[in-house]
Amino acid sequence: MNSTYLNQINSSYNICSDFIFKNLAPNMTAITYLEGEDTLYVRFNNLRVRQNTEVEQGTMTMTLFTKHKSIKNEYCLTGKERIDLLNTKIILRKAIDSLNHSLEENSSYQISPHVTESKTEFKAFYNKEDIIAAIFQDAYSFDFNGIVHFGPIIRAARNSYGSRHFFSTDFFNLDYSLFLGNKSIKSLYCGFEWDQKKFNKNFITHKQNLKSLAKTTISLSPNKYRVYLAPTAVNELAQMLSWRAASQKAYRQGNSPFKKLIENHVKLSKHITIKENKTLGLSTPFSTLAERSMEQMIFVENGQFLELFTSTKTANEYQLKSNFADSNEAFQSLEISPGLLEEKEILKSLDTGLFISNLHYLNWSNESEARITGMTRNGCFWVKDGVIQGPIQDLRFDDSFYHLWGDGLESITNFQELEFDTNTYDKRHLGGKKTPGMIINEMNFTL
Amino acid sequence: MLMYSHLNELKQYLSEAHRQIDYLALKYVQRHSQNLRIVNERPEEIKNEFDCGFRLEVFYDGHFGYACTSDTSAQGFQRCLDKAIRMTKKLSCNKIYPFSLKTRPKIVGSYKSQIQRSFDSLTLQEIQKILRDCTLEMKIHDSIFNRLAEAKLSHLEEYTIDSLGTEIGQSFHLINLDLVARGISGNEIQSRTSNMCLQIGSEAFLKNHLLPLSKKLAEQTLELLSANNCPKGKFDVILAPDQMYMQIHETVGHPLEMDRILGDERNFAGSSFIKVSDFGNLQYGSEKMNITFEPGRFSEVASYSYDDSHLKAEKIHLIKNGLLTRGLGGLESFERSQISPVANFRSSSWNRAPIDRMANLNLEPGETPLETLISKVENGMIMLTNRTWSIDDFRDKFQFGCEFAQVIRNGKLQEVVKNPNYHGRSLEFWNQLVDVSIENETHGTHNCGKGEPSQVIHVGHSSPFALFKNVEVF
Repeated sequence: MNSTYLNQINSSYNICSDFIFKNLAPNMTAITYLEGEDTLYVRFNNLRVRQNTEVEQGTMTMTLFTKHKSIKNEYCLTGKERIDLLNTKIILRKAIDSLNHSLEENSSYQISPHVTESKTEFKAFYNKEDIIAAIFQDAYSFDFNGIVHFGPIIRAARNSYGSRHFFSTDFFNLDYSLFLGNKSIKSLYCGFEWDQKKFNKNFITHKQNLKSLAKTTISLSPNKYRVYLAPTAVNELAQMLSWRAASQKAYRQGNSPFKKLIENHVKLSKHITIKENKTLGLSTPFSTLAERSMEQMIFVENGQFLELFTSTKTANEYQLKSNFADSNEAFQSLEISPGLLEEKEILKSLDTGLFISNLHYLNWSNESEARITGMTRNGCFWVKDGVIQGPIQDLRFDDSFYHLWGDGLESITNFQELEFDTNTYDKRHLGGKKTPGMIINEMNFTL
Repeated sequence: MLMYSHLNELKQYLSEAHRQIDYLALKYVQRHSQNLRIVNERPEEIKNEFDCGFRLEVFYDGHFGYACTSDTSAQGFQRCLDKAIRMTKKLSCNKIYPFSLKTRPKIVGSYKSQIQRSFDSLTLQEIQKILRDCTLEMKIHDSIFNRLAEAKLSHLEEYTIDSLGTEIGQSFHLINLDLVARGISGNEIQSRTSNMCLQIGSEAFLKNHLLPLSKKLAEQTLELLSANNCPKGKFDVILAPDQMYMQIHETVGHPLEMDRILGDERNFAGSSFIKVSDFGNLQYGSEKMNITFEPGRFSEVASYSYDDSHLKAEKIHLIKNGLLTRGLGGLESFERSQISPVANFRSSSWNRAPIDRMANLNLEPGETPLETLISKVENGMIMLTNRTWSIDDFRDKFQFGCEFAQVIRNGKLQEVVKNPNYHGRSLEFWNQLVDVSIENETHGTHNCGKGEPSQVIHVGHSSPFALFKNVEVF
């Protein structure tokens, strides 16, 4: 791993984990988890650097549990073994004391004593400074706005039964928009290997797209319109599935917006299959409880609900079978299966309607009906008789998944786009989505 | 409570290193949080978080750059300094703006949350028992099947020092407390929630307040389960402070952030319908609309003395009698836009660079009692508690949903209705503000997301009840 800091963090983590496992009370089990990164962020506005920030951070989580009680302690590591071990000793002592003085819980973390191990490493084939230079060179004539971040990320998980997992990856993620006044197109280029030719080609395509954007903006009245949702827009819709929709715990606590689907009161279109696909290599093959994750979990197959994310703790609480999901019980590597619609047929198939490249700020508007609201954003066009007429003034939609991915879903493209997770809240997040485009026969726009 | 005590060493490292660059500052942050969640009278989670690290800010040829680490040793400091200097020098030739060091005034000062009782005055089990009793109070009917009480107590210590002699220490005690009563009837699920997000000590766990509130939430959930859907159409609507905080946040706070107006956020959170030329000229709302930036208000969650550029926090009117006068921009945005600054240049922690933020942004109360406000409504409703929110990237077309609404006819409160939503456009909506109440509540959120790289931060919003006319309800 090409990071002094992360090597030190990983070493500290293992020493601290060993100490914890050796100093547990007889009735106690422990799980440890490590998250670390050594990242450079460069933020651009109008192809000028607004801020450059380098972040080294490592966080260890120690979960202790007995049959009826648990406590979780998350603390930062310095990478200096002496300091980290000292902190671990203090935290462990306090945690055991808190555990003794807390009330009994509804459920238990009680994981299987079956020992699992894994080691996964993805290497980088890029140079940070070459990428920054390429951005300045290729985006020279554009109002370029966005962020690039790169550097190694590690995850590790161990438990006191002996399970031991390690994951490291190193990728770049360039998330940007090109503006023409207030109008924009958005693009994402991410991966382990920088392909200069591909990057150059992206900008040739952007130039063509900006020509369409330069046409007069068309203002449409709120109404129901036929739409094509590009893979990036479908990605935004799919993000909602990680907001309690596929979580066993959320469902059991009456908090899942897909209750009707889960209970077979409704079905989605037979064309739609949604699954968690760990083989995409975007996230760890193990959970935060140091269990080996399932390679695939099919949430919906041909429109029929099949399975929810069920962590071991939730499974223990509701007497269910765990599928070793993380405690947040959400998609990390979501894939929606492709269909038959060819790229060259999209405009012809859409005929007259909206070509929607991206969506923005989605939220549930009526959870019991799986209804969502959100806005169009970044390069959305009015199409008439299969020909792009011009960009639209952004519209608000309010519609149900049961319609959009149910009776409203007409066709799915035969290609998918893979997007790494761009989320950088507090840390660089792992995971991503592989989604196709979709033609929806009618989508409800309200404002 | 906290085991970190590296500040003195870091001060020494800074004093030895500052000659390597035009300007050098260090912000050190340590945070201890405890999260306790009770579901249906039993604990579901105890989680402690201990976080500690520092951020170096270097200035070279008019450009600020940052490097951050959790390694507080001499080697960590030097590695961080080398990284910050190298990349900042390299990128300074493509900087957004040639900033001056006037954006980092020398300040010596401090801040401490005003709390009545320390966090240590209640034991873990005592807090768990209070939260458990809250969920027990909600257990008024079998249909209230999911009862939650959750508290997060956070203690933050922040120190800023720089090569010009600045020394600022700020200490915060924050509590976020959520109560949720969720009920089911057939396929119908309804919830009532309450949130407290304040700078406050253990006095927050006041049983005389929390237990009746918990019971009331459960009673209102039962009412919702048998209520009709909210009617559709144009109505006069009174929004309660626990919805208004979100209305202020999304349709006033974010559009007035200068970094959005200057374009920094365009790729992520978005831009703004406000232009620099609108300040001093735009009638944002009716004359009843008075918006203040007040990062010094007692107990409001985003109170402090200095922001991350060391600007002193003061109460300032941003919108006076409906007229837009000032924006939410710190000293860097001031140099770029010449719009007078406010002390809002804030970072979420040691691992993120500061950006323009809201802090406490309040709608000032009026002189009309709520009862009189209700009596002014012939055909409308009152809506309580934000449930859902969405707005476009220019902060114009919004849609909100509330948990609970009660119809008002001929000035009298009538039946409860469920699933109320409304939408509108920011300027038009605020110009439909008819009146605001004398009653005022303080709310906040610890979850305001923004920035690239992204960061969530706490912001406070005080608001009266507010009456708007001709609102599109559905």
